[in-house]
Amino acid sequence: MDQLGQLEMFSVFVVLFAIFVVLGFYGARFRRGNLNDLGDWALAGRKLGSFLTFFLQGADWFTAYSILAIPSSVFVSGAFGFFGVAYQTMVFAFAMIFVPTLWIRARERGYITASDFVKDRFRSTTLSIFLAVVGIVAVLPYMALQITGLQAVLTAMLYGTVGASHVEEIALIIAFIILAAFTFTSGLRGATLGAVMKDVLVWIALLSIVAVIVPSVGGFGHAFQSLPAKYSTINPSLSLAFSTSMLGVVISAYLWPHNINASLGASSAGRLKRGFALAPLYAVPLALADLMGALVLKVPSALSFLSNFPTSYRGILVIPSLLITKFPPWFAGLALLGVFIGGLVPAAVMAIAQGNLLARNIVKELRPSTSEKGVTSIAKWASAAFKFLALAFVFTVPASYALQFYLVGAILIIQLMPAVFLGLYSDWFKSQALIAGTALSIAAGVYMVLSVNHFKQITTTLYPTPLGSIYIGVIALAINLLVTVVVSAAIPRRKVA
Amino acid sequence: MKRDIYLMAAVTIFIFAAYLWPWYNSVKPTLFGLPFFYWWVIVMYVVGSVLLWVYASVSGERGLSRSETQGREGK
Repeated sequence: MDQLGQLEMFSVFVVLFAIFVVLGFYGARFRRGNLNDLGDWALAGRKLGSFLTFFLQGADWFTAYSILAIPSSVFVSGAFGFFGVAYQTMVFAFAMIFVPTLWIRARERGYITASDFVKDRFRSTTLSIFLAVVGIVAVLPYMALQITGLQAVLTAMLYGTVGASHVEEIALIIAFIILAAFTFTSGLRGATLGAVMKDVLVWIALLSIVAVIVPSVGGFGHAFQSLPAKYSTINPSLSLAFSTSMLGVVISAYLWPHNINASLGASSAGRLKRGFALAPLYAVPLALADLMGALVLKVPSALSFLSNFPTSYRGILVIPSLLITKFPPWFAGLALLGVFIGGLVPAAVMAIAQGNLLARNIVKELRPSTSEKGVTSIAKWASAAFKFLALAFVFTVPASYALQFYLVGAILIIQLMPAVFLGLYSDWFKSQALIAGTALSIAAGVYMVLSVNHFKQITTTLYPTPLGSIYIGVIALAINLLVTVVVSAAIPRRKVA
Repeated sequence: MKRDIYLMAAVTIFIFAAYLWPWYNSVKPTLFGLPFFYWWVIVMYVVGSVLLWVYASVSGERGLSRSETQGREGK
């Protein structure tokens, strides 16, 4: 691409970004409610219908993770990396079991977060505060993944311009300030309108990539026959690793605070269920696009573009490199903007959820005298601040291994499963047992991750066992369940009046 | 209520059996040149979506556990 082309691409990107920002601010007026009320700011006043719920679910769940990190993982690890998109149907089947039930409880009892539910269910403020802290911290690496995605898009677009490394930093800062302002003023409503635009552009980008790249490499059959075997099937010794990694993501998916937030924003349980039922369809173009991590090896122009970057950074640039080398500049600009806001919208929604947890389940608990308006204001400010905190996590994982950001965060968030998922169906667990189980499992999980990576940058979350490698999140969850059950059984039952 | 639980259990078991364990880890049969490993997963998105839609339609606004208005437990 020549300089004029690069200018054209960048102009389209900037114009569309401006439209996105306007949509975000317009979101504040959309089905106007009282934005000084936390429930209204964070749940869009529970006014989202089927259509917008579907878009927000898509925006929340199909993030830079699916668009950039999975192709990267396929590029680096071959077919094994495909686990990161394969589980989608299981994610929504599992969500269908408990999220609509949680929605009904939330509506009846006025819950906004999972911690609200836990506090009411197990009558323990300590437990609810503890789980809120776990939720906030767990989201940080996941948000770092989105930041890595934003950075990758800008890096690819600005490559070759004078002082590219500086432009990239500046652009990232500007995008962040706009996002923070955007989240601050409009809450979930603004994010929802942004989500519609994001989804449309991401769909266009993914479908176009598949339609152009597959024929250009002579079809899937031709490409896979000439690629090394590791791109067609996984090594059977990794079956357990594949299976437990999928299971870990399936269980963790709807325990994320922002996913619970977005789900509780649905206007009815039925609409929420229909949104879940449709969601796996979103994964069809996504899975095909994720295969580009393998097919890119058959596209010489994209490979030569990638060779300009260090190996540890190439994976995350697979999709941007195909867009830049195989499409007209204006289209590359449009598609890259889709990928960019594909990281931005989820980051906004995650930050909103963190702000909620901090204000409502921590500050308000510790200082009950805080006014409703004060709580909402803390939530808004915190949601802006957490985005910057996540920046610190960016350097813990090399970009090509970006999906590890998710898997690290999931080791923490999956520990909410006994309290939130099992808690919906039984109150047999004791709050002290849940606290002990969660704390021990997180300590064990974090230690395992650090030790398998020799206390250096994280490139794996699998732990070698005699049976085969197992995803650490699942091992830690087993520890959690064991401790929770044993301690619950040991504590004498108090008579419940 | 009971019927919802049985239906959801059947749908969930089917979906998890279909691909939690990578028994479909082979190249053949291919579909449009895609190895079985990939196309099986993609076909299951569509099949799973239809099954989940059936559950969503049958269960309507109901949840899978007794809600507060239908009878409080505990307290």
